[in-house]
Order: sequence, then structure tokens, then C-alpha cells
Amino acid sequence: MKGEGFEAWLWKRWRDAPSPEPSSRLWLAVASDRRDHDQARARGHRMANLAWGLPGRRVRLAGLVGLALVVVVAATGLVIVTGRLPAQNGAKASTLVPSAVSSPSVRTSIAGISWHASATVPLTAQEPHVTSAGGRLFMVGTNWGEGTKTELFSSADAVNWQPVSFDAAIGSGFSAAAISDDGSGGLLVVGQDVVNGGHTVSPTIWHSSDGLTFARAQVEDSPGAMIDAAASRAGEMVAVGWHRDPNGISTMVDLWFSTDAVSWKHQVLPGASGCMGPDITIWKGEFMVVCDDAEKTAVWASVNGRDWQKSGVNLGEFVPKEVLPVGDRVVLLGYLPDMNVGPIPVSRSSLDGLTWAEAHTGAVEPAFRFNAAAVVDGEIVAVMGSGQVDDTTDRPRISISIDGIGWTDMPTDDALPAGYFNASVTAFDGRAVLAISNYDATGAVMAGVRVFVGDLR
Amino acid sequence: MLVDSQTDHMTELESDDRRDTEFAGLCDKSIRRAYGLAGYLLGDPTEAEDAVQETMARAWSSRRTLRDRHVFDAWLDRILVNVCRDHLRRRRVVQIVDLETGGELEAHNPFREFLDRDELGSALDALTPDQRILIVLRFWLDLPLEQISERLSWPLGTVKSRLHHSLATMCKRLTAGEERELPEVAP
Repeated sequence: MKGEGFEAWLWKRWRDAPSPEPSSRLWLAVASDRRDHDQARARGHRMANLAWGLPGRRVRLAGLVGLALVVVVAATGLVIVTGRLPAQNGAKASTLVPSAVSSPSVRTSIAGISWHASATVPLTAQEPHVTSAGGRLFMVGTNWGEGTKTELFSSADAVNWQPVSFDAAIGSGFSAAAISDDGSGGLLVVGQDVVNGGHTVSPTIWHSSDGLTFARAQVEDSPGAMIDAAASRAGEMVAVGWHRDPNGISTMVDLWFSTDAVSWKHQVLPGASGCMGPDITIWKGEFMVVCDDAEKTAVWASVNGRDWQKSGVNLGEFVPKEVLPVGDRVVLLGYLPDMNVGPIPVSRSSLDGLTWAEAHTGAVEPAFRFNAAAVVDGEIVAVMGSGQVDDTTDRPRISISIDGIGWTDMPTDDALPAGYFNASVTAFDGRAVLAISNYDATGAVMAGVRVFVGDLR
Repeated sequence: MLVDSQTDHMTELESDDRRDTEFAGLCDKSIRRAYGLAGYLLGDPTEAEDAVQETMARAWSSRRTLRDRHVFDAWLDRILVNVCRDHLRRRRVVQIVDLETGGELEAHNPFREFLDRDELGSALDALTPDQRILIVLRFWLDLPLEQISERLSWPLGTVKSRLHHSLATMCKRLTAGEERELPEVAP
């Protein structure tokens, strides 16, 4: 074959090469990286993501992988951060108090957790989300490799899982970020519609009263907004998300409020510039949003889900990623960025929302990061993973705490699979239900999501 | 004097903010193109997104080093090509294995679909990372040799030489010497 003819053939061959569109997650990840970089730089650290070495870091925008916390052996380096709640916007008051003045912590009331495999759910997504609602378990996940296809399964016993015709009802294009109960036994699936090849996203909520049939809620639009989480009680539901401004750098937090799960009214969370990936819970009768904003103030509260006040708590370098109510405490799970060792898993715990005790471990393992957590029978069950999508050998590590201050890490459990990839955990009937998608020892992604039930003993 | 100094400082900060905004805009406009380039270099959409994300992160952290916005594309391509080269060199094959059947789950891969329409994909796979980069820059991005030279930081003669060898390798793979004709290309 002569070179000239071959070149001509190649030109023709490449002429109709398509230009596929990247997913919306890529755009969001790029914007996130810019923000992380600038924040890390402002805080005297070098580029956070590069320091962390997260080959799968896009995943954290969709949910949980980026959450960092705790292989906490003991609550070393305990400090207290105080603030005012509520406070006027912009008002700040923070104090670091030596650990000696903190209240004594009780690590846990249980001896451990016995895990056993219960099922493999044929969910094709690699990032499962599980929750319980109305006495049933639900698992949802979005497969980005198949035109943004979201699947939902349910189970009454964690053993037998049935597909719910959710994907048939919604079609393709919906990406689920979380599921939660609606406060009345129904189910909320929150996320965003991804259209136009991933360049347009719009906040989307699906609701089901019976776990079988779903209706698309009327959600006031916030262009480009993604919904991350929701918290509900009877007759009051709040979803939280975020969007970036047109310049692609700054971000704002969005809230949607509903009394019937059908119609959701939008507002922007006041004073939350720079936040991404907020979380929400209900604690002591108030809705509480946590997020790492540009001013490092990370807690907002509302008694009714509509009127929000930013607290004066300054959490410093701490990056909260999840908030959990446990007993009479509220616990933030997150991490401290560190240029030398990567993110240091950290929790913050408070009895009043004003004074926060920080717990972190002396045995820092930056390669490990928080992957999921739930409160089960009064205990925080935190699932740790390497966060490295190509890790094929390690097993999930479980840490438990009764107060978010003292943590006990469980011995490695052979019942849990090696080759950890991603996980979600929820409480169900007094037990922990853990969903894991993972790599096997050869580096192949296992098909299906494996479910494990954990008995607290 | 103090007031003047503060004013100058504020002006400088505002100017930096404006430049950053412009730079972010340039990056955002380049994501699709970068994704396509990475996709054909790597043959995998997930890896391509990883590479673009890494590229954009590097670009952002190095944005002050770009003095002339008119050469942004070449500058960004250079970063992307380096990132993709690293990916190609440390590539591992990751397969999806069905737990029940042991079979494979195929994810939608528009790059592979295009390349595998005939034996073009396997011919590209036979190339070294640098050869593959060269072919994609030349035939997908449709770049003149001079611009390829810019992006790869190779002398023009090196580009020509390597292109020749790359084409020869592909041609040999596709036609098995003189025994087979090239596949048909749709008009």
C-alpha cells in the first residue's frame, strides 16, 4: 500500500468522526477543581485534588466518594469551636478551646457489627444509594454509561429485591443523587435531569407515596442546579442543591421547600456563596444545612424550612460533607485538607449547634476516606474506603461512634468484599444495611450491587 | 500614599478576577473539543473525562503562565496530550464482569464504536502512544504539521518522520502488506 493512498483513506475515514459530548459531571468537576485549587491556595495548601490523588474524583460530585472522615482509633487532638446560632449574616465568632475542656466522650455502646451477605441486586450503576421508607428498603442508582439511566429496586427484607418500574416511568436522562423518605412513609428521589448531551441540567424530584408509582414533582427551576439531598418530616420537605454562576467559578446553594411533595418552591440559601455539595438534616426540630462556603461558615438553620439563618460558627479549615443527628447531638462528617498527607478525616459534634467538638485521629490514613454513614440504633456507622477507584485489594472499614467524638474502628471484616469501590448504608429494622459496588481482585468492576446486613451486638 | 497603594492593590485584585473569569470561560469553551481529542487518543469516554478534568486542573493552576490568550488552544492541547500520554503508558485493562454469567457488560463508547467500524481501531492500537497522538492530531483535529510540532514540542522534521512511520505501521496492519485492499469508506 502506498502512503499517499493510505493518507487519503484516513482523511476520508476520519471525516465523519463524531464529536461525543462529555457528561455534565465533567463540567461540574472542572468548576469544582478550580474552587478547590483556589481555596487550597488561599489556605496555604497546594492543589487539593492533585495532593489527594483521586483518580475517580469526578464521582464525589455525584455523591459520596469525596466525603472524607474517620478511621478514628481515638479522639486525639480534640478541640472545641464555638459560635453563635443564630446570628446576623456575616457575623462571626469562633473560639478554639483545648480538648481538656470538652465533655468526656463515650465511643460506643456496642461491641461490634456482624456482617453477612444478603443479596446481589442487578443495579447497573456503580454508585448505589439506599434508604428505608414506609417499612421497605429502596436502592437507586444512575448508570452514566447508558444514556443516564436510573434504576430503582425495593425490598422488604434486604434479601429479596424487586425492580421498580421507575426507569420506565421516567425514561432516560434523570440522574439520581439521593433518596430519602418524605416524612410520611413515602419516597423522594432527588437529582437532576441531564439533557442536551449533559450540558443542561435541571433540578428534578420524583415522589412516590407507595414505593411503586412515581410522580414527577413541580420543581421551580434554578438554571444549572443539581439537588444533592433532602430532609423531611410530615408536611414539610426541604431539598438542597447548588448551582454555579455563569462564569463557572462561584457557586450558590439552592433550597426547595414543599408541603405536599408535589410542588416545590425555590429559594437561594442566604450567604452561602462558594458552597458545593451541601447536606441537610432535621435536628431538634430544626432543618439544618451544612456546607463549606467561601467564608468557612458552614451551618444554616431553619425552624420551618423557609426562613433560614446563617450561624456564626466558623469551622475553619474543616470541610463538612455530611450531617447526621445522633441522640441529642448533631454530628458533621468531613475532612481537613492537608498538603502533606491528603485529607484528614474529621468529625465535629455539638449538643447545641453553637459549640463544636472536633475529633480526629492520630493514625491518619489519608488514602482512606469516608464513603457513607448512617445512624443505626443510636450509633453512627461510618463506612471508610480508599476512594481510589483502582484499589482492588482493600476491604471497607467500619468505624462506629455514639457521639461523633470518640470513634472505634472495627476489625477488618472478611465478610465484606475486597476491592472496595463505593458504598451506601442505611438503618433498617434496627440493623445496618450496606450496599457495595466494587472491583474484584483482578481490577474488574463487579456487576450488580452487593447487599450486606449488619447486626449490632 | 497609603490610599493610593490600597487603590492600586484593589485594582490589581479586580484585574486578576477579570482575567480568571476570562480564563475560566476559555477553558469551558474548550471542554468539548478537549474531550473529543482525549476520547480518540484514549478510546474510552471515562478515561477521556478523567484526562480532561486533570488537564483543566493543571491549566487552572498554571493560568498565570499563559501570557498570550491567542495561543490558548495550543497551550491547552499540549497539557492534554501530556496527560493522555501518561494515561496510555500506564493503561490497564479494566473489564466489567457479570457476577452470574461471567460475561461482560458493554458500556456505550462512541469513540470505540467509530474506531471499530472497521479495523481502524485495531490499527491505532498497534501504535505507540506518541504515534497514536500524532495520528489523532493530524487526522481528527486536522492540524497542519507545524501546529502539531507546536503542540508536541517536536521539531517539524521529527513530526514528519514519525508521521511517516506511524502511517506505515497502520497501513501494514490494515492491509497485511499488499495482500488486502483497504476497507471501503462511505462517501
